[in-house]
Amino acid sequence: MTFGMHRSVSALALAAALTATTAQAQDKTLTVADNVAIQANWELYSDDSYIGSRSGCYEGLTRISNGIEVEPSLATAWERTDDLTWKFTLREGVLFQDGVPMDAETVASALTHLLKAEIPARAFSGKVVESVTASGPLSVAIKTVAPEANLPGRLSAPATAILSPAAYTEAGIDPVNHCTGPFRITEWDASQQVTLERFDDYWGGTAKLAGGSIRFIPDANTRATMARTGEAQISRLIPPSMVSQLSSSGGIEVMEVAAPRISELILQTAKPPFDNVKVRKAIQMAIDTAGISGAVYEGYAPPAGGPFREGEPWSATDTPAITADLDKARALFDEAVVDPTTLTLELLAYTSKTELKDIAQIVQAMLGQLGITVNVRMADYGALEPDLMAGNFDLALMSRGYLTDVPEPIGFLTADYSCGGGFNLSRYCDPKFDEMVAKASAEVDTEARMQDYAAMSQYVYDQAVMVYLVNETTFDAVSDSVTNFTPHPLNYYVFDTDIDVK
Amino acid sequence: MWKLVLQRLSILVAMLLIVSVAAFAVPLMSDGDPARTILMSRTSDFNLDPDAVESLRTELGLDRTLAAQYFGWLGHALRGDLGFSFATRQPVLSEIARALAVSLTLALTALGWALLVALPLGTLAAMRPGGKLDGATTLLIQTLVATPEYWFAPVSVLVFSLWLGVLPSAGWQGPSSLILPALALSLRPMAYFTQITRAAMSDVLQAPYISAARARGLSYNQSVLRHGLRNGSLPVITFFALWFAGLLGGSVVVEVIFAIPGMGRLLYDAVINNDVPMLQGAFVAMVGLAIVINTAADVFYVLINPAMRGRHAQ
Repeated sequence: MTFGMHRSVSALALAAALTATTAQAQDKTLTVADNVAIQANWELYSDDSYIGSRSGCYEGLTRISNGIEVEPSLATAWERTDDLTWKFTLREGVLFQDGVPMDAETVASALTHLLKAEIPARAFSGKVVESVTASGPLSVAIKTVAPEANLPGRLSAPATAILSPAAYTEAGIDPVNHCTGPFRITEWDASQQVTLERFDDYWGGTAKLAGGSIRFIPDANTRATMARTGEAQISRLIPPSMVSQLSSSGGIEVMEVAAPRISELILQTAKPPFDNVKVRKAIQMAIDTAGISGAVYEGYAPPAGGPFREGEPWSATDTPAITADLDKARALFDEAVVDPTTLTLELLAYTSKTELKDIAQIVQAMLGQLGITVNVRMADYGALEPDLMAGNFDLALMSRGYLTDVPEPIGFLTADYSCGGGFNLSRYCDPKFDEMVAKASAEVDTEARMQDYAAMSQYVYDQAVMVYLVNETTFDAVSDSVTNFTPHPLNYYVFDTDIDVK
Repeated sequence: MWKLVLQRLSILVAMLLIVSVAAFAVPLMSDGDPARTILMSRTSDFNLDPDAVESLRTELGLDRTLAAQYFGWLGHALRGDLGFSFATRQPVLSEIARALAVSLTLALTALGWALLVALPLGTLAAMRPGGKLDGATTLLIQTLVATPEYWFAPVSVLVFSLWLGVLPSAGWQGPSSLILPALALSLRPMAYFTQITRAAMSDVLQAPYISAARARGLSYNQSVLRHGLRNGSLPVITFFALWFAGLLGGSVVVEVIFAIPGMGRLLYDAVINNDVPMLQGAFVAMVGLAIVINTAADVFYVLINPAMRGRHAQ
């Protein structure tokens, strides 16, 4: 054999090896076990749009970083041109998966469709946005009803995904081949899974994975088992009770997600005794949040101070978790001239959040130490809602997300604490707080707005509007074979160009 | 026999009407507002936009009077249109057909396995009453009856999916997905079928026609096979029909644990979402099928049992 022949054979072998490696890379797929199924035929206002986003199919004009900051996505820049108008500059060279190029007309049409939908998406409804128009080949103007500092953040919500004109059919939204993201949805079964395939003409480069699937597994223990068997490389929302077992089983890393969600004990402030701030503070002093964190959440959900988690851009600096002290609680009752042993309170808790049942019993026992009688009423939320909304209760347990659809807590603060708030169950009404809400809503400067939120957080903490129990934490089980994946704090994204499997 | 079929058909119509009213009324009896419940479920949030709730109420026709809602549904149902699911927006009929196909496969497999074990085991136990096999069979029956599905299902996943790695732990993706859920569902019918077969065969083996068969020169085993089994299996047919109708309605526990899109899961989701059209359609389908299956079992019973045929003729 001559040297030349040797070289040819080696080259052939190398080429074959490279081809094999490339083919292997192209074939790599990822399976994610998720808890929610498609339940509203891809209606954009529903949680189905989150599945579209986690699939790497849906994209909006902006996106939210893991640090919860607004970043460019289909729009590269934005500016406020007057009090009510924002101009978004669109990215060049974006193709929908059906080959239609994205331009200002398609974007304006997509957002107008959302705006005029029979059931509006909370992030982009007619209450916030008046109109969307194409103001140039690659620029759209969005006019808001009132000054809206959060509009770029709102346009990151999965509900505001920009889809190809063909996606908006009379029968509803058809996501198959109609997104702009790095993965296309090729098939879906509402109760089973969505199947994904890489979109090679993606504007942001080619994805490392060839495709994958998101499987809908309602039972949390089954999702945990799928992580252990290797049927799913990522299993979302693992029960805290399985964290240590999964972590020690080898080949799996349990990733902690600091959920923007608070478990709280709502006090009915519109009537005695909780119209008195001293009584509210006394109740705070009687509740051992560290004990609840340990007993109910196995220590994985930290005791809460204020409504927000420590270290978040909008959290106040002086809202430490309160350490239970019954003597101080009794002293506060004395100051308020209220005898705790005369109090009989009704505590409402809903059944769909299983932890609340345990917390209700713990709260009952803790307040019992002060001589307070607490009658617990547990029922489905739907059954409790009329009383909750009408204020017919003394105490209520609630788990509240504070970044729903908008990556800043203004919606939560307005709904839960302002006088006319749509979810103000505590019926707390303070003109001074409402002034703070109005100031933050109109504040254009992001940093100043964060300070406004922090001030509001401090205010409700000082006023002891509620007893903040724990900052909730969720867990994803991730196989060691998965690379370049960090759970998103708002659960917006999973499949992207970088995520890969070894 | 035709009289029997006609009788059952009239019962079927009456039952379907009663069930459709009950399925319509039950969600209304709960304190929750269906439009709010559906929207909360779709958006994972309790804080709802009142305008969105009203839009949904109008879209789903929940703003009409209750009578208009029910009779509107009935009119369409009589024409074979069960309406659209509140939740998925898909036609109820096609959703139920899809789920029924899954539950049918699961039920037939589970009951088939149950019969495969129960008939020989029950017969052998009855042939040697008080023997070792009879004792072991009784123990097995008690064990299977006392084994809950919610315990067996995760344990079977642990063994076959996690330790042995031979079967998938969840989903509905080919024949291998069928094995563990069908196994979990087969345990209790297996126990009851074995018990019934044993009891029936014990009676049959003491019947005069078995003695007559043996007097004609047939061996004990031949007598059992030719004359005993046919008569001894009659009660099993009745129980098979009952279990079949029950399993077609799906098993919520098994279907949720194994993420199987059968009738149990469909009903579970429909209840969670206050999906009234889906509940109505599913209950009507399940009750209708139960009556049809039991009627078919009775007809079959008559066909294979000449004594019963005579009784009906009289």
